[in-house]
Amino acid sequence: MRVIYLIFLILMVSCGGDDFKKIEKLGEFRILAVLADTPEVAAPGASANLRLFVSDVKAAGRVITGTTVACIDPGIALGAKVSCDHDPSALTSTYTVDTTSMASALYTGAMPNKNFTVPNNIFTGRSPRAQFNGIAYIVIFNFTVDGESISAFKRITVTNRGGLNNNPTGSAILLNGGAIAAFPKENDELKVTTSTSETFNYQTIDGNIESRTEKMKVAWYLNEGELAGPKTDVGEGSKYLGPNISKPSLLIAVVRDERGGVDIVIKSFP
Amino acid sequence: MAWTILFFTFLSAFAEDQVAIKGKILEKGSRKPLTDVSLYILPQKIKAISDKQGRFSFENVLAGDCELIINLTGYNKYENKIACSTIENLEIYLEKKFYTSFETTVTSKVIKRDDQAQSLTQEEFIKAPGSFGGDPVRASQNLPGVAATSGSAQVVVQGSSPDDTGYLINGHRVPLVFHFGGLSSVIIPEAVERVDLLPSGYGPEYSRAIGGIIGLTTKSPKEERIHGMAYVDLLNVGGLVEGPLDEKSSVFVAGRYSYIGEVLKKVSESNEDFEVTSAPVYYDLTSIYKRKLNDKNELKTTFIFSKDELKFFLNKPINNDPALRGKLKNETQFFRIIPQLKTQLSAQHALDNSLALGKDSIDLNISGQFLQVESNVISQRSELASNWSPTYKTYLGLDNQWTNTSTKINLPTSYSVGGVATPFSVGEERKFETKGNQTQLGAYLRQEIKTNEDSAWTYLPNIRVDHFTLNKETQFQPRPQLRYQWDPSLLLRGAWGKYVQAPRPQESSKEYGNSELRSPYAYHYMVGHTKDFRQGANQGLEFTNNYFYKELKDLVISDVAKRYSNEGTGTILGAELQAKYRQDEWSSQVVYTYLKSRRRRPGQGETPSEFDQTHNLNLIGAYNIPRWTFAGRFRLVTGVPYTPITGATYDSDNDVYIPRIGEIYSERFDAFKQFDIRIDRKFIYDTWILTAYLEVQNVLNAKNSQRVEYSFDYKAREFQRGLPILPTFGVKGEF
Repeated sequence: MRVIYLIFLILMVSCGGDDFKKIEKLGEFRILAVLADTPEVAAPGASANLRLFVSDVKAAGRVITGTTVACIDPGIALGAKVSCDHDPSALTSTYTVDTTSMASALYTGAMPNKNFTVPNNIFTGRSPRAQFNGIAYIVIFNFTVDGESISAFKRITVTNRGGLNNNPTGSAILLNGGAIAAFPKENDELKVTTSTSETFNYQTIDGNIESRTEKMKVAWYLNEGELAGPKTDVGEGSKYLGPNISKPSLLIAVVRDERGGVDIVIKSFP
Repeated sequence: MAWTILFFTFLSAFAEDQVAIKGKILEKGSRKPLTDVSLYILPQKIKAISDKQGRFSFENVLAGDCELIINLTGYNKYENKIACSTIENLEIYLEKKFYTSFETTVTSKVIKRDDQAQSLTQEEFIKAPGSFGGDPVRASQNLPGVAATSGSAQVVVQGSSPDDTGYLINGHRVPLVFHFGGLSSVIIPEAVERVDLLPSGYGPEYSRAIGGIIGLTTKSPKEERIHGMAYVDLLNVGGLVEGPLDEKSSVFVAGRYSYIGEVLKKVSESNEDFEVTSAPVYYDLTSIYKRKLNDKNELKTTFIFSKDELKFFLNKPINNDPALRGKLKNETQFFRIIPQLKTQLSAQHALDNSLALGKDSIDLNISGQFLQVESNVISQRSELASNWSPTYKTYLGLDNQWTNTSTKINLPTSYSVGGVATPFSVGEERKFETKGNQTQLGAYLRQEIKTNEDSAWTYLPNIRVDHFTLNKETQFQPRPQLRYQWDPSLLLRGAWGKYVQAPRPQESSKEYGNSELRSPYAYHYMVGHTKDFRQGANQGLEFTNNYFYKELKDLVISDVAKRYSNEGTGTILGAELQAKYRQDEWSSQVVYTYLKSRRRRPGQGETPSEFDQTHNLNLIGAYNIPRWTFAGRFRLVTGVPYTPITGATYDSDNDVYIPRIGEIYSERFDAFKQFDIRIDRKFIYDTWILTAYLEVQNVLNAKNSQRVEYSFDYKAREFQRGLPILPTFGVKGEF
């Protein structure tokens, strides 16, 4: 209950973090998403291909070698540290980000796939409800860039529910309701069109099976300017606050289905 | 008054030689009848004495010029030349020298039953500087051992969590004591007779709070005549009416409404990040009914209702949590009806019975996720006080509470360590509905034993037992106390005791928490003394000094495997002193607390707690002259600790950064400094009083850091300051 007063207090008295870098603004090396070809797998022993979607606008192309470590989720949703220290069978390997060959001057895009196999014992000792709703196998990507540690992780969800989740499809970015042809101008409204939300079954804590529908969310990124709504629902507009620019620029919508499914719509403008 | 005199002068021309003068003597402004006042008519030296209603009568007064003289201690001398003639209804308004208290706060011994209690009376808290217009609970933060949480006014008693402090009204637990989490108490200050703080070593009458107790006692309505009051200030508007209904009963009705929401709504209009969809509102109602049933029985019934409502729309998510956007709403309300029956069974025995019937409700909605709680509450207290002999007294009591709760919840689990919580977006969903009953039973025996009437020692082998149906625990809690009256001015005291509280409902819920939790408990140890150097006078120095130590066991902490566990422990060590000095128009206080509040949890060793404020100094002063009071408070407090965040890992599925924490509570904010002033001016009219006050908080505009705000990826941070200089102004009219 106090959280809402705290949020309100922060909003009323804070400077709003005006000096902070905006969440939607691209610049330094940043991982925008980790994509899996199959966000859910049906059984222990199955595998999925993961790849990073990164942005490194300011670096103008470079090679960064990092590591991956994969293990059964230690319980991040319950407060556990994002780490594989608990799991002696965690698998470590290297992962290379190479933006040198990118055609765009903006150095933003997807990296190659890397395959990860979920261990056979992932269901051991887990409740039927946990197996139904899914147990996560996590893959953590670690890099040291310009002296700073940067890490991200992705869950590969293993479930016996049937009807596996598919990645959503982001088809187009719309500008004021029409196809986008140029970088937005001040007060223009951006939207993204996607595939329809999937329905899925979820077992509640009291054992009931509920049919639910995904809620699709969009995270917006750009290399210039500012957005009023850097996070929106699909179908909800995000207003571009300016300024009007004419140099090469980039606009990205990362669509998430809140179940690990991700797709990216990217538009670059000369 | 002048017209009255002229009129009587005119009449006197036709008067007979001997006349009678009858009238009433009242206190100017309050219209309080003044009893046993000697009135003189000169030069004839005729005396009259006022009765209970302030009525007086002079008989056989020689007609003609005379002078009426009244010289009453505490009042301005009354001298008035009148033409003596037959007068049936002369009204005299006698003006008090001081309408304001000498002191801003006092650790008075209002409740002398418990030596550990520190109390503020209404007269004291209502003019306390820095209390947002006389709020009793905020004023209690001027007492030794009491501090406020960083960024709000939640009460921290001797380094304990505010959740470990029990808030009572007339001895019965209420779910919250502040509107909007710390703005103002849920009860209008004028309805409160006194606020009592029971810190370490408190007696067996209360329980279920391992930190301490803050108790508010409602006043008895005035019985002699109708009174009214209305006030307006920058936060609230309110008013009350009280007075007799008949010879045996009286009533008090008060209400208060805050329009701070309208101000906040205006402020939010200039902020693109969020909008207040409906103005935040809080209001409360209080009524008190008192009836003397017969010579032995007296009934007092208090009704309290409080409601807070806050709704706003976040256009942009909070920096560190994209889930927190869209509609946010919080409505909380509760009411209590508290009938209390006091029965004098005999000269030696008195019985107090009371009930509290009420309902609590919470409706929280955060971007579609919600918590809805409805609770019906009945609590009951009984106490038989027996004065068996001059050397032996007992207080035998029951303290029970029954709660029927219905909960609908759809919220993620929350995990917090070192004050850093995992983002809302990451938590595992918990969606369920539940209904249940919870009973807390308590019984206690307080004994006061002296070996003989003249003994300086008093032994108090107190005991309490509590049973919680929530976790089926029964806890015996010895709470012995010891008192030594060295001489009339020096009291030495000591106490030791066990204190237990049930886990909070969300912690012990089988769906959301851990139903296996045990009850956290604490051992308190304290010694102290009070020396009164005033030697019976009301001016001079009083000095109080206490040392305390608390061992905290089975504290509930977040636990990854079990959601919550009893793996937390802690210690709190401290010393507090209070020196009060009063001389003529001046009064002053020095209140200082030293404490170390430490916690332990598995794998993290001993760390400071978030309530660890090593030094807490309050300097309070007041200058009181007729019609004016100038009061000030300066606070210097060690900055509270916080846990640094050393980095973050991006959660690609939830689009949020999960912070990595450094050493728990290893950094501190700069020392907190604040100087507050308050000026009261009274305008006294014959039948009413107008009071205007100006309160300026943080006069020096000190930039006190109270929170750390982080960028979305935790790579940058900035300190969020507390309130800047904040003047508030209010006026109050009363009759």
